[in-house]
Amino acid sequence: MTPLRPVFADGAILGAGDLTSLSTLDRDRDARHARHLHTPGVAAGLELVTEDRASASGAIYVEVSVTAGYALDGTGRELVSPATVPVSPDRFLSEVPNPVSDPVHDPSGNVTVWYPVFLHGLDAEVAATDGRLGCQAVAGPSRVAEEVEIEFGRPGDASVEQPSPAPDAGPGDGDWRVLVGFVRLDTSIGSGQFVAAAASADGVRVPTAGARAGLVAGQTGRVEVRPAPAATAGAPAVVLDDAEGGSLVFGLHNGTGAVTPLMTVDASGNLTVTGTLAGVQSAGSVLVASGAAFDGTVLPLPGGADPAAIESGSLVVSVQVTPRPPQVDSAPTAGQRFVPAECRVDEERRVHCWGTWFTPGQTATADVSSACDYLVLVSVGAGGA
Amino acid sequence: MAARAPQFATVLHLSTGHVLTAVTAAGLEPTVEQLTGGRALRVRHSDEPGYVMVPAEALTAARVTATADLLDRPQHYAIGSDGAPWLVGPPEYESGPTRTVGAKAVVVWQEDDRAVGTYYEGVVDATGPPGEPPPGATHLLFAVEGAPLSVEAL
Repeated sequence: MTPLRPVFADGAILGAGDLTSLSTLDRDRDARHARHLHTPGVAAGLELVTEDRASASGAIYVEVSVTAGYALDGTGRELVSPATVPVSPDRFLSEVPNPVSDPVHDPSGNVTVWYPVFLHGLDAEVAATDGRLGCQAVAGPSRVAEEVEIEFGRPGDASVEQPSPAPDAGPGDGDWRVLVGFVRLDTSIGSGQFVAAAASADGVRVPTAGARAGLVAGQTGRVEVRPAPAATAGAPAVVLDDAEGGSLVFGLHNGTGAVTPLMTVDASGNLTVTGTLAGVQSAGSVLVASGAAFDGTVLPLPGGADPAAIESGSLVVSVQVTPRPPQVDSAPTAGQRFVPAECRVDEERRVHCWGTWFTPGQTATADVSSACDYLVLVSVGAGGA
Repeated sequence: MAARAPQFATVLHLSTGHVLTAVTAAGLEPTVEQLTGGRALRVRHSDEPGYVMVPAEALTAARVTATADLLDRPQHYAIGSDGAPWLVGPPEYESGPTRTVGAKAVVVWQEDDRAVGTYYEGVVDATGPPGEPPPGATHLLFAVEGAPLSVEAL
């Protein structure tokens, strides 16, 4: 149904329905805005906190509470908890009969069982109490308190999909549950006590309220995304900036409001990184190693070249070696000259390099191992590595 | 044109200090594993087509200041107790060089059809190198602390 907006005229008699429709209009609008432009979850607070306790027999357990906070459920209804609320193990046992007690022993070792803790909305009618005439003259409630209530689930309930309301619907009646954490229970302590609380379990984390957007556009030519509200020193951030033609920067805040770049892409597509690039070598790239090596040595590969990829043929190795004649004054006999006889590498990249010292005009010679200058190129074939 | 001589080289040496090879690799510090293919370093016998495959476990890599002479003829050098290379003398290729009894020694026996030589560490005794040559050994690398490297054909 399309939203209906009441219109008033001078002299019209207002009924309760007219005033109620005003609040309903705004409430529905807020819920549709929250639901369509945000993802449900915790927006502030609502953390499970614990205090250590000990039973009369000395068994250690914890008292669990949910801190004050704010969340959006999947219908767009806001869940406001103005104060810290205790999480009751008695309530847990009434909602989860026959829970699995912690710890559980099985052939593979101890297994811990986490139970999800949810928050959901609850409309509570507030009756008039002072008996005055006017809006509060009639019997029945004159206010509805939008409260919240804690509810427990069974393992796996945190991953269950909840139904989405129709696009034009207003806020739900509170059935939609927002996960706020997990608890573990030990039934051997008293009538049952919690022994731990956590924000994540079994690969599921407490969801945080987010934004749904096909476009995020800055207002001043700059957009920054970072994991926490405060730009403290060391906080990572991604910045899109249209200065100097445009750039995308990932870096760390320096504590004075600026981001020190660790990776930058400029408007020409040039990538600059302050660290090293790791991973698969891309097509067209070449890694190079060069230097001098003596006979019998296996030439080293360039840094970053994956030997397994070379073995499989994904990377191609090219080697060039050039004889490195020894210095004349290192000849075994003064006046001798050196002639390289062999300078190559085998399939193992092992250097075969030797030559002969000789004295011009004489027959005496001396074969010796020698060194070479080498260049090793590792490149990627057309298929990539 | 050859590049300017680099500042540092990686040498592979025996426990007696004898350097068997020297390598430069700009910006890299190659390991024993990389320079031996995970297997062995081949040491050639001069004047004849023979060699000894020195196993990787007998070698240690060290980073030293590179000189042109060290790169040209590393087997003339040994690494001293201070970690610096010193000129021990050219390798000897004749059989049975005289060595001091009791001196620390490393010997590698090469059998013709084996990819890696048989390696011993010990001291020079009255009979010569420590350990027993395996049957079929064709060449021997004999390194005695303080003396030039010896590579012999058997």
